[in-house]
Amino acid sequence: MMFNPVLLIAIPLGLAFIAVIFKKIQKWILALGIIVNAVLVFFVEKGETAIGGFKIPFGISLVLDDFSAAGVILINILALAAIVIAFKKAEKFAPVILAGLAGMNGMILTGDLFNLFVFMEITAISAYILSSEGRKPAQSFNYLVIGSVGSVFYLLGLILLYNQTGTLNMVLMTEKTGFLEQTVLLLPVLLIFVGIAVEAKLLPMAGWVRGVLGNSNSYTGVMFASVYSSAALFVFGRIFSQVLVPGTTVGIVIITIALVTFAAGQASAFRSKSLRQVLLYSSIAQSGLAAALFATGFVFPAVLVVVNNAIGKLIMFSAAGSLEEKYGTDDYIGLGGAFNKNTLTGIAFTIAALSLTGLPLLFGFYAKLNVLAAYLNQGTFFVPAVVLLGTIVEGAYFIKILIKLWAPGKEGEWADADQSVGDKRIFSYTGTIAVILAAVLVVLSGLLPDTAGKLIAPEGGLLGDDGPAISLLIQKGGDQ
Amino acid sequence: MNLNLIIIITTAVALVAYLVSKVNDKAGAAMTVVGSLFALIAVFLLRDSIGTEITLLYFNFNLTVTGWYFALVMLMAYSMTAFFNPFWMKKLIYPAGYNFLYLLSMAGTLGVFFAKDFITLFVFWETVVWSSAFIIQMGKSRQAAYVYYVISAIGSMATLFAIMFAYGTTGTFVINDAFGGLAAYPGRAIVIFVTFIAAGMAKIGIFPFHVWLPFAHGSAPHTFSPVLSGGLVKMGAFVALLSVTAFPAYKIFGGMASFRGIPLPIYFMMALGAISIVVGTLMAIKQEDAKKLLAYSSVANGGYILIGLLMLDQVGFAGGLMHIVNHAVASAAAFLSIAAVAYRTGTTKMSEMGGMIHRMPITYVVYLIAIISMAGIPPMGGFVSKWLIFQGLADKGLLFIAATAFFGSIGSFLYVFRPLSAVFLGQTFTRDLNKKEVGVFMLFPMVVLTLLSLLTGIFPNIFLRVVTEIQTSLGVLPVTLAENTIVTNNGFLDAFKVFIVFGFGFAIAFVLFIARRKSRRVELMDTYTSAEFIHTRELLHYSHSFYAPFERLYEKAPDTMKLYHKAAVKISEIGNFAEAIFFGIKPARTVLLVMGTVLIGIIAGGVLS
Amino acid sequence: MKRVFAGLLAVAFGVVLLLGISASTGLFSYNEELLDDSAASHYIAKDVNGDTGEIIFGETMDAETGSANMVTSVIANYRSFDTLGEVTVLFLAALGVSLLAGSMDKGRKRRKSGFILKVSSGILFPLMLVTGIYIFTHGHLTPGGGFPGGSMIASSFLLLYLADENFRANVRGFKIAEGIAGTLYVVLGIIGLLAGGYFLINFLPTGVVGNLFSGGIIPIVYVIIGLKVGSEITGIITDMFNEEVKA
Repeated sequence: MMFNPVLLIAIPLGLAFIAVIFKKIQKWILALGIIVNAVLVFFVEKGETAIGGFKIPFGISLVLDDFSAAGVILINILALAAIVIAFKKAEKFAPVILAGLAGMNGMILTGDLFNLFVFMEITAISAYILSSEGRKPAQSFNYLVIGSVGSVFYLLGLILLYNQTGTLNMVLMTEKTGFLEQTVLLLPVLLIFVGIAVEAKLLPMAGWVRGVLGNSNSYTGVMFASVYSSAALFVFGRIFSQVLVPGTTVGIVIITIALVTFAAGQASAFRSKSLRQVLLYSSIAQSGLAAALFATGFVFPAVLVVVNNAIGKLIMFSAAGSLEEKYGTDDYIGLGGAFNKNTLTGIAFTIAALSLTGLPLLFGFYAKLNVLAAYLNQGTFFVPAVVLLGTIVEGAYFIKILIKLWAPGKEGEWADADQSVGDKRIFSYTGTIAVILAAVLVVLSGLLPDTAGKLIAPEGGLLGDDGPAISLLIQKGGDQ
Repeated sequence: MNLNLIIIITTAVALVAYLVSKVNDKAGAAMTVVGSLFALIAVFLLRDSIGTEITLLYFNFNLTVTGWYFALVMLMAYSMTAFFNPFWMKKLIYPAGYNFLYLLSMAGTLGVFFAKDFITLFVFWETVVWSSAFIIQMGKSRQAAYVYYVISAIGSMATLFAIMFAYGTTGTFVINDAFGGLAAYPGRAIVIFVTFIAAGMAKIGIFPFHVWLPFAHGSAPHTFSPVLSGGLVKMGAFVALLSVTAFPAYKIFGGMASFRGIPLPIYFMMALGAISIVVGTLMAIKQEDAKKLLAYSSVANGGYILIGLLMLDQVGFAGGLMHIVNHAVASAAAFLSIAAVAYRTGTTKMSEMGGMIHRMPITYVVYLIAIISMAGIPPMGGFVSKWLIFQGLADKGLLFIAATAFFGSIGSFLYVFRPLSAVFLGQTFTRDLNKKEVGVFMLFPMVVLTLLSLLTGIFPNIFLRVVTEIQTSLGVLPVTLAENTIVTNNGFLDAFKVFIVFGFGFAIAFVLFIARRKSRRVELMDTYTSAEFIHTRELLHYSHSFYAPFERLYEKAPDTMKLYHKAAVKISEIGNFAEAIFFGIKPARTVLLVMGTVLIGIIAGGVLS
Repeated sequence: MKRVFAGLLAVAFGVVLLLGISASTGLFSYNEELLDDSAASHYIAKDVNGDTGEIIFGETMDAETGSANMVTSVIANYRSFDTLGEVTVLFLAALGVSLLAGSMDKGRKRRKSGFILKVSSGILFPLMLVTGIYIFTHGHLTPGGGFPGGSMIASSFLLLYLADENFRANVRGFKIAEGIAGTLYVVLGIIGLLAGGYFLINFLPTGVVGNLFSGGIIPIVYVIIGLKVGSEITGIITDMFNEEVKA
């Protein structure tokens, strides 16, 4: 039984409206919507779907290829995991979350540039509202302003492109922009880049991240860092790897911005003392890396980075939010030994952190290898060197956090459980199970990376790129 | 029984140890003993499978004699130290985790030594790194684990770069093929050589990566320091060996500038090893804590090993390989004896101990023989390996390095004697008067290691025959052995005869000792003080600031750790800067930044096109 | 000093933007080939799905969208999906206001209004209400449509608020209306999916261009939008005004 992919958008949207009518049971409507979507996402028809019955280049279309399939599966499952872990926090925002989920599914699925704008707006506004949960109106306002500016820039860029090409359909746009000169394309592409960069957390549009994510709780943190972030990056990938593939000039600008984001994110994370801040800067760095990969055309490694980051941040942000709530502090120095009685959560957190650093036997290693191989096969050394230097810094700050959270104790004395900050349970049973499952997924896909790779890109490549840059199954006595 | 099974069984035992430890931690620790002994015996029996290959998941293994040799050394360190585990469980915050990680890191080292391709090497290498980092943090210093990991990461990332670069150039991960294929790209080969060997250097603790050793070996749980020093640094030696053998360094760099027949890149690494010897020796002399002292001595000995291995010749290379065994055994024994003392007294600070020879005579003998071997004094094994290394250096005429090697040898007399005198000799402290020797379970491994030290010293050829096998398999001319003798260009060494001579001398001294009148025992406090009263025993025990005049000579020496601090501070500053500019909450400022970015983008685009 | 700099930056940006636009759009030249088959031309000619010949007001039966108002045919039919999205945006905005207004400090005492306003509001309110309803029901014939119509309805309620300081609208009622309207829009789409195989397909006959009952589902859509927009904006106004927000 295969369903029309528009249902992935229509169902949460419809349920959002219903949730407003039946406010008393809105949390069950929320649960229903997310569960239905998470199941439905595996049973939707692949290919292009027209909306409204109009011929495709002129009407709106939804595109479900391997790339967007990976995207929608990722965000719907992550949304499900998020409410399993922190249902209580999500309850009062039920319609907002449902609408936001519809928006994100739409963003990834759509094949039309203006439709993309509309869904980006929906997603953005739901994000602004969610961010208000942190009770820091100045930060939310900041986010709102930056987001609005971004949207306006995107729209302006789109208008310029529409003016020249007369179409809003992505496929047709790719064709027609091929006939335009680089100088003509420069401004619109930059404007569109700014629009998408806001949500994709690229500097300098990422100014909102510290305020919003730094004040998030165990639900909103996960939503922003894993779900919204991944959706935005998938959109970035769609646009800049397929529709508006940047030529050399624009490409250099975009890649430079992305790499600067990566470096600045890692450096900022290194100096942060607050757990959530470290995590949000690490997210910014990973976004920068993914954006650079997308802009260079290495789609498969980029998707691996996005997936790895999303799952890792799911575990880590929910734990960080929960720790902040239980102990009142975000400073990881003051949270020494928090994993003392929370072994399972601690192990999951450790696995997530180590996977983000790219340690072997975990999914992040496969992602890292692909990233490095993609560049080194091409003969570029600068970017891999930057990536590896960033990884050293990343490893340093994550290990510092892990050591602090596992082993409390004064310097010069043996690690002592009595010095730990407390032994409150970080998650409820269901939350712990969800987090453990995520960690197990990371480990399994690290032990069987080629299977994981095949699942993500059944055709071998995504958006027409070369697919996995390496295969880890090296036959006896030979190379791949 | 093949390698796959060994690794799988060891990992399984690790998991079982974890679960058992949750119930009874001593039982779990006993499982680590069982697991490591099993691995030791099983790998020993793999002797006949040498030369075969085997695959597990996506890992490919190649059972070489080199790998077998290294693996045995490592497993010996692990299994002997494991005997100490049950006694230290109550000190550990996570006894179950410790037991699990202990065995897991051991399984990891097996994978490293038998790796056929780089991915296997790297995966197992990193597994060892993080599992040992999580053990180190349970000890006395969290910062130790952090420094250990960061420096290890610097090395690992450099190696990963080298691996991927080699892959990008040659298209394969298989170690021999990938390195072999680099012969055609001498420029890239230098970069790959330097970055690849970086992980090995970081792991051995060669200058400037040596800063983590005193932290980690000094502050790790007492039962893990012997493994770190005796075992894990040898992993680095393995990588260094790969980088001159699998990577045909002499061939590739053959055309380049060379110093007395040694190409410059390799000579540079040897020079770093020489500096490590000097730094390690000098720093060891300064130390007040027995474990930190031994850690620095590991730095120095690591330098010897590196120099020996990099020479890749007939004699020095054999010396380097042999020193791996000797240093592992001696270092493990020394750390274990200090651990035994710490078990009884609760401290490793030398100024707080004294006269333990009366209370713990067997431990004393263990330590004595260990340090004799480390200092390179016959008839212990350390002498043979150092002799070989000296022979090699002299042969090649490498004056500077030989000078540092001799200096290190002499300096080692100074620092190995210090704990001996401070901890074991002299007068016993009041609170230690009723301490007893450690139990037989702890004595067993120490005695085994001591006997091994003696064995390598008296009959070194047993081990050297394996070394010749290694040399032949790597295409190096093997060192000449005859019966019990080692023959080199500059002379020969018959270790057994040396031992006889020493034994003879020892026997004479012993006879004299028995025959002479016994000396009169005098209490510590019974001493001439020119009418002053003395109250503190501690101040009269000669163990503090032993070599003060000598230490004053190099008091002002720069501290490498400061370099790392500066780097960390710089990164923090960049982070601060980025945060200040980009992450403030003034929306107006962000909008301006955005406009500015677009402007710059357009200008850049216009300029570039 | 900072302001001067910021101002200069903004001006520079504006100049660059204009230059870029003129370069991009070639204010004086277009690439005719690319624009040959543009979407807009098809929307105007109502021949997206196939050539239908000339459309004559008052005569043509079963034209593609059936709506005489070109803008409406784009908003409510060709790009109905986008409109659903826009409606959701407004929905979220209203939701945000209600979530936040509950946590902001309570409303102020309202000012007594003037006599003229009080009396005339009685007359104006129904007039405004009817005008709004007219506009959105005739969206497919005359300029206007759901959004302006809905805003008019909302402003009629605003008038009531301004006229009488004790007036309080039933927030819950508006929220329910809003929810029902939104759900109906989605349901309409799903019916289209089930009946015609495409989400939001125009499954009713489109009638003669120019009649009141033409355009298929377009008038229905506009009614839904009108009600939704009206109740949402009224909800916003109410949230802002109310002393306590009972949701």
